[in-house]
Amino acid sequence: MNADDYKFLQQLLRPFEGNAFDPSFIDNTQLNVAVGHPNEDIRTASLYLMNNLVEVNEGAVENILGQAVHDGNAFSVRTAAQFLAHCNPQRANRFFLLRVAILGRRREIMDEETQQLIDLMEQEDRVLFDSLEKEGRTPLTERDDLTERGNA
Amino acid sequence: MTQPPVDKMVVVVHGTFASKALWWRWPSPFTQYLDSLSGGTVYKGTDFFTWRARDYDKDRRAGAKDLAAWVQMHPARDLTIVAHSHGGNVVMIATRHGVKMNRLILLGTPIRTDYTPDLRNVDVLHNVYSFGDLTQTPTGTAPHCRGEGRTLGDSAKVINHLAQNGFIGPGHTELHDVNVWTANHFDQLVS
Repeated sequence: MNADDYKFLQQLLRPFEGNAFDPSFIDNTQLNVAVGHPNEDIRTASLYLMNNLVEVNEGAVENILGQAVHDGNAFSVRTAAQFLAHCNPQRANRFFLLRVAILGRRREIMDEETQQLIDLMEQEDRVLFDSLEKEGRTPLTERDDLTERGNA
Repeated sequence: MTQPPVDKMVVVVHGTFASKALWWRWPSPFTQYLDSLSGGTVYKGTDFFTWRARDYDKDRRAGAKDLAAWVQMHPARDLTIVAHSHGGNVVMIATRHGVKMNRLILLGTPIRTDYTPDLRNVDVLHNVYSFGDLTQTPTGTAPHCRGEGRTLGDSAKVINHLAQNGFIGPGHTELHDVNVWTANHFDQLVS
């Protein structure tokens, strides 16, 4: 653990100070960075933060995941896959399941978690996933794309 | 089906969010390292123990029951369990379900009041911690921190080990790194 990462992690974990979780201390910019950070401890801390945050503000976590998907770097996709695979499946937004599964499969990362995401999908999304795979596309840059195709 | 008892076995238990990780599964570098220290006794079967690993108390308690059943199906006369993070709490709860072990090695396990082990079922407990590990506490201990959340009370069968390297000590995930083990002579905990 180098000094910079340690300092960043200390700041990131402020919402846990006082042996309790206070979401008002969450810095969304820091959390966005943490999700795609090369340091595994920082990514793990981001998972703990999102896991607690989702209980009180699901929308905020969706925004974080949306940013992770938008960034699309290997670390952020990996963290999003880890979160979605371990969080309560009922909370897992179908857009994120599909998008992250596609990104994970395309980049050949976290293969088991990617598979778990596919397993968690509704049947119609699995059909969509298979067809997109067959077409060799990397679609779904917009939420509307999923809505349009998924409801077709 | 229950397997015939073996003389010695080493089992690695993962922590939160790590059920799909590879580091704790044979033949990862860490498990190969443990295998070399323990005379080739790391469990290598495909029906390895795992738990759901979400950050919920109910997952840890369910994992502990599953571990008790797994150990019953995989008996060993000499059992060592190496557990990372909340995986250590899964094992400590399992001791209350009667799981007996010769050595329990905790790596960065959040020490909490609600997961106190039944030490009658553990011959020796090595608790490895680091000041560079900020996941162990407060992230992992809230809201049931015991003491500072890192250490257990020292006794004849409980020994705390401070891991050191670099700036302030290894981070949470570095506690299962072979280089950290070598630098801190943790090989002695297993062999």
